[in-house]
Amino acid sequence: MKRILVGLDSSPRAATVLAAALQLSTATGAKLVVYRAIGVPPDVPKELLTITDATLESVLEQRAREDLARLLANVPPERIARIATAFATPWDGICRAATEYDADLIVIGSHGYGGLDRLLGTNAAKVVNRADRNVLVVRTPL
Amino acid sequence: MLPRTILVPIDFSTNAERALDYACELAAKLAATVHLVHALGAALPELNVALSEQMLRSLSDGSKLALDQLATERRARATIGEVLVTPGDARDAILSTARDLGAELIVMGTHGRRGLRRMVLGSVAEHVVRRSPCPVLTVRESAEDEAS
Repeated sequence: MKRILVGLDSSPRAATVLAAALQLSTATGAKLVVYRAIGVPPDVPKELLTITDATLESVLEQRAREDLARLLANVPPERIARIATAFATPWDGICRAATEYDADLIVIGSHGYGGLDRLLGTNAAKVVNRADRNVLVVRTPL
Repeated sequence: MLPRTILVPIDFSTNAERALDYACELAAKLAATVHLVHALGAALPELNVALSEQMLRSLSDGSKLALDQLATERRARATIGEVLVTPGDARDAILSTARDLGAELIVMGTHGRRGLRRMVLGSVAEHVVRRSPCPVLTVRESAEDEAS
C-alpha cells in the first residue's frame, strides 16, 4: 500500500473518515491524497457579493482549501502526499482522482451530506460500485 | 482505532483469495487477527429444494477442509483466528459472524461466484457494505481475473 486517497466532504463526519485514513496511513506507511469534490452550494457565498473580481470557482475553491486545512491541522505533514480539490460530483470526482493520483486504496465515509435515511449514502455506494480499485467504507452514522 | 479483528468472507472464488491475501498483508502491519468465514448458503430458493442433513454435513466438511487449507497457507504471513463454516445465506451469515466475533473490519472481494460477470459489485458484497456494523474494505477483481 503506497497511496491512500481519502475523500473528505464538508460534513462533520469528515473528521471520522480522516482519522481512519490517517491511522491506516501511519500503520502502513502509505501517504495520503486528501480529496474534496466541490459542488455549487445552495447558498451562494457572501464573499461573491462584495468581491467583484473573484470568480465563483476561486471563492469556492479557497473555502474548500481553508476547510481542509482546518481538518488537517493536526496531521503530520509527512503523511500527506497531496491536497486536491476539483469541481465534480463527489463519487465521480473521487473515482477519477484515485486513478489520476494512482491511489491503491480509496477511503470514504458511509454517509456525508445528502442521502438522509439510507443505510449507505449515494456517493459511497457509487464509489464502491464504480471505482476500479479497493475501497474502504468507514461507518459514519447519521 | 485500528482494527484488531478482521473478518474475510470466503466463497472460494479467485477474488475471495485476493481479498484474503490483502487482509493478511494488512493484518501483519496492524498486528491484527484474520478470521475466515464461509457460508454454505440457504437451500436454492429458485429450485425450491431443501438440503438434507447428510448433504449439508458433507458440504460443510468439504468446505471446512478447503477453508482450513486457505488458512494454513497463510499462517506464516499473518495471525489467523477462527476458520468458520456456517449454514445459511452468505449475507446474513457474514453479518452475524462479524457481530459475534466483534469484527472491526470486513475485507471482501467485490465479485463473488454468484451473479453476472459484468455486474460491478457482487450482490453479497453490496448487502454487506450497506448493513455492516463495521468498516468494509472491498477488494477489486483484477483485470486478469475479469478476462478469464
